[in-house]
Amino acid sequence: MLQMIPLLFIISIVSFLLMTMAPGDPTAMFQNPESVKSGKQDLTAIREKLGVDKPIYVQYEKWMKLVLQGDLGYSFQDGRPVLQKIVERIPATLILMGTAILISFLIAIPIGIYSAVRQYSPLDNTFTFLSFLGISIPSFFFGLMVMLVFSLKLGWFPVSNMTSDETNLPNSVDILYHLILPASVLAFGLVAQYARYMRSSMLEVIHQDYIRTARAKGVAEGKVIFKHAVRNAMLPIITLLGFQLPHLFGGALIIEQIFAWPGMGRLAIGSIFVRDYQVIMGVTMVTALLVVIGNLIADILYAVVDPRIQYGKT
Amino acid sequence: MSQPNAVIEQGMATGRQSEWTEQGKIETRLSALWRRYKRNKFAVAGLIVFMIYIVMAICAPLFSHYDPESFDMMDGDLPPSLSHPFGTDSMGGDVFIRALFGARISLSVAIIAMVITVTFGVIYGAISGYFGRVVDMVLMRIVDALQSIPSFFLLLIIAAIMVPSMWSTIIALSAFGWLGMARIVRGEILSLKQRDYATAALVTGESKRAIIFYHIVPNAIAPIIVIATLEVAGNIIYEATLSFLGLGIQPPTPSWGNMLSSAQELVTLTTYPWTALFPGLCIMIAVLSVNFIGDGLRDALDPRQKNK
Amino acid sequence: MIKKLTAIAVAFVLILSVLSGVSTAARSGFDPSKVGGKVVLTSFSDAVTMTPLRANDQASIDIQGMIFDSMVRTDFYGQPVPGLAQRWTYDDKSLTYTFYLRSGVKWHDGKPFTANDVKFSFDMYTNPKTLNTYKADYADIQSISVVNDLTIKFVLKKKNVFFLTGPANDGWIFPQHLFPKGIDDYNADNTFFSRHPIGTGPFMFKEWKTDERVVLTANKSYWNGRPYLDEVITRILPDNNVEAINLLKGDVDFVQVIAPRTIAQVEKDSDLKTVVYDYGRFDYIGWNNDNPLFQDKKVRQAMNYAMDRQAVVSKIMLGRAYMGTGPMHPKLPQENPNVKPYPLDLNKAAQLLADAGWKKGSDGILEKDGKKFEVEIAYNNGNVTRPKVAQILAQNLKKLGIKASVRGYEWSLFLDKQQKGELDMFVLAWGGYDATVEHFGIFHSSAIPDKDGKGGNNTWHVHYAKVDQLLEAYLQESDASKRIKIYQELHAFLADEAVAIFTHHPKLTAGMNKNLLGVRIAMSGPYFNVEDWYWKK
Repeated sequence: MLQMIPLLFIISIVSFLLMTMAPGDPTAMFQNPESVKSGKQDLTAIREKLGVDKPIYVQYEKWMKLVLQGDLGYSFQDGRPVLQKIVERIPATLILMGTAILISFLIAIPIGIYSAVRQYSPLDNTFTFLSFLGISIPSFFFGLMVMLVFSLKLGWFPVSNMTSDETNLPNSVDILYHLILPASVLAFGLVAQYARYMRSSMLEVIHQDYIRTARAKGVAEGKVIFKHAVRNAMLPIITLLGFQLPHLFGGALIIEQIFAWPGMGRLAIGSIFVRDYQVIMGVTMVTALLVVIGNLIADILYAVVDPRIQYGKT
Repeated sequence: MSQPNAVIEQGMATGRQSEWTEQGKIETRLSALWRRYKRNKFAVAGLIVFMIYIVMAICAPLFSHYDPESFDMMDGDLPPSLSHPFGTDSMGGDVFIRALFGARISLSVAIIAMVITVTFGVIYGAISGYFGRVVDMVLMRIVDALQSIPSFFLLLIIAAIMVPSMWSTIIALSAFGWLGMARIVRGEILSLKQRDYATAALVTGESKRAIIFYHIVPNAIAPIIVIATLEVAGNIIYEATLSFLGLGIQPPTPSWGNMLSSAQELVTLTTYPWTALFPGLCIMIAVLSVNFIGDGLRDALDPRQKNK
Repeated sequence: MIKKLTAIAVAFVLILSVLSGVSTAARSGFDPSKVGGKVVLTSFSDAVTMTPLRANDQASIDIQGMIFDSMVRTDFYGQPVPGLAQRWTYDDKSLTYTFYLRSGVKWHDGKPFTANDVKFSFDMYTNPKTLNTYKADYADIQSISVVNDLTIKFVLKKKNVFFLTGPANDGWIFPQHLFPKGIDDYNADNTFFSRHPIGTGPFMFKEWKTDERVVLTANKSYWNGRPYLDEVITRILPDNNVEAINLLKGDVDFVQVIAPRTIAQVEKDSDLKTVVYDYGRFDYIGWNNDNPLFQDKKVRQAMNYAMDRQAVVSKIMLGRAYMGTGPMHPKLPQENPNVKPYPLDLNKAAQLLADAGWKKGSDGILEKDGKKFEVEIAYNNGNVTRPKVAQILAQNLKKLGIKASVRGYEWSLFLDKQQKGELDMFVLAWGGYDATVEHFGIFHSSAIPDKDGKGGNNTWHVHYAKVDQLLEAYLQESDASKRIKIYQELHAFLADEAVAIFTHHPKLTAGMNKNLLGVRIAMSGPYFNVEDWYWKK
């Protein structure tokens, strides 16, 4: 647990350096050279207020001092506390990611099991092909296609956002209704990975001695597969999940952008584009923390599923 | 970028080792490999398709005397025809020729980024794994830290720092791609260095560098190859995504990614679908074939199935 | 005779009532049967703050414009008409404006509106500590004094013929009673007010869901009669396509700008209609005129001859644009009708470049004094037309032997480089103006930014004594027709000097539900009369 602290510290330095090295002006968001008004702008007071004219280490020191007091600072853009801006969006992202992971697991695990047990069967081949299709189409393109077909042509689902302007549905149902398309698109890209992973994990387990022994003993095939093999094959998937979280955030970012989903990804991409240093740092640190915690949970789950491992020993 | 890595990570070191050494000669190994590989029809198809892609990309200038970057606004949005087999885009560029030259850029980006990733990842992982202890701890903490950062955010920043070009895209893709590779190689090395031949080499007084790169790394080659293949597939997708965000290769230089993302206008998709369809298909088929190759290689290199 | 007198009397009463703008009465022509319904608008990004003039992003400005009022409004043609001030007088000698405010106006929270609120708002805008980004706009104000609850005097430092349409129109009035700490409250971020604004405008704030929507409801006791719509919702949709899909699906009622190529799609839809409108804007490809490459007028003219404006208008804008000749819009009197657009003439361009001393080197690239002619044409990411405009020019420049490339920058980087004069060429626009336009801030030599990008928005580094003098004279000239002459002269001069490539003035196309009526779009913006929008019953 304690090694998390230096880890987060390194992350903060790397991110801060990269961020401030990037060219671009954090006051750009207060300019609009395309507006008639642009001729009259005076940004001196704003530059001073943001303190962006100071050297990088001074800015970092100032930021770090705040963080040590449990404060992530204030957004350059609208002056709202960074933490508040993040907390506002975390639920949306977690719902989206959680649902996507759930959907992909529900699809991928059975496929993986089947593919391993009936390796190279026609159905295995079909599954293989379909699941690979999922990682072969860039998500921004696939998302748009799905939107065109299911929202515009068929009119089954809403196009954007997380809630309706006006609805008779209870809030949770309304969110679920908005969630289906983006979560499915996100899940589509994950199914392949999990299915392949499950398949190879199963293949390995199936060939191990205790399975052979079980079979030799005459235990029913279904029981062998589901009671012994699946449980053990699940182990590595859980680890995978933990250390995949950062990539999931990346994937969710594109989906959030396309489906106008009010989550962290959009906050991140928006703040990168306007160089809102405080928000970028906040988002990076919070996601890093979530990832670290995710890994921890994965470790614990691992211990739960596999009684041989006791947490704390590894 | 390292998404496929984990798929391979587990369980490959075990068992494979014995197979390599038992089967002896390189020819036998290769032919055994091929025998197992070709059992997977998708993998074979993938290999053939990808070869065709490579040949087309290399020979692109032979197919056309047009400049892929030139366009004639008067010929915009023409449907596929004999003179423009894939039609033209909204600027009047020939989609076929652009896709052809786009293949050169997109595949180069994907492959070069993979080579950088593999090289750096293998060296880093090998050092970390072989030296162990403090070196390993420090190096792996760094990897941990970098892996916990949502790499996509930083990728955006990196892409923004540099003048967007083929090389900036390659650097952006490699910058975080090596992490997973380093981790896996380190894991392999840790288990391999306990083995007899490593110990033997140490006893005969070979240098550590020689031991790492002549004895240990070659034995870890199987998972490296598989991951490298899958990395190529991931890179093709990432190149397109960067283009979608405006940080990729800049038009008029064609890449599949920027062709696809510049065909994102609603009207293009509904009225002139070929502008999106062909680069989209190019990406899809390329990624599919590479993934199949990787999948086939994984099965073929996996010794547990040799008797099947 | 008696009939005639009655008619005059009626007319008189009518005029009187219009002039006094009886606060309880509805606006003229108010039709109660039109009341009802909600309209859904769109915005690319979420609003930043609701505190007036603390933000300048379009979403904040559009929404604030519906919540707040200013003393003077402008009509469809940009002329000043009564707002919170029902009339005003001006004394040229003492440079004093006296505004007589409407009585009985209430804030959305029910408190009465008075001259003190006006003084307070302007005090905030002019305070030396203010974070109002437009404080330069208010620099001409010498002093403000409250005469009584409904009368206020503004004394100016120097003559400003645009005071009524400038500060008096832009300066939204906000309630003093909600800013107890004065400037500290105004400058403070994330105040309750900044997320829950109270104004006097036609719409009241209702709800703001971050990154999703801002909801406003009708102010039923608006001094000019309640708006017809019950609710105005601004949905945040960060993508052009998604915006169009929402419109086609009927989830959104009004989109202010439809991309040229998407228009046909919208028009095909039987539930939608489009409205083409003139927007006061010019699009251009600019450069730093101090860049050695562009210091020679011949080179600048060659650039203009190399630009295919016709292709932009007919192929990119699909006919919905005017060819550009300069920074004045063709629908405004300031435009000089004698200035013609530079035709596409590559031979002439080549000749001009040769005259300027550029000769082709062994590699076919133009060279002068051992330096190659190499330019990058920059545009901002996310825009669909600008990359195309840039590529058209780049292709022609290549034909001339210039090594030209195009590049998309993300916005903050683009601005940073543009302000510092580091972009070779940039595709940009300037807009939102009407007949009261003035170009001081983008053409006056005092507005040239320094190397650090500080100073002003004359980013093309235009500096001519003559231009300065014309710009200054324009601001001082009270005679409208003389004023127009001054700008016509400026127009001709800038065009001849070829300070930039003025490519086109777009005619924008708004898409909306076909039952949405009453929409009038002014040159300065699409939400000019939202309170008069209504649904067909």
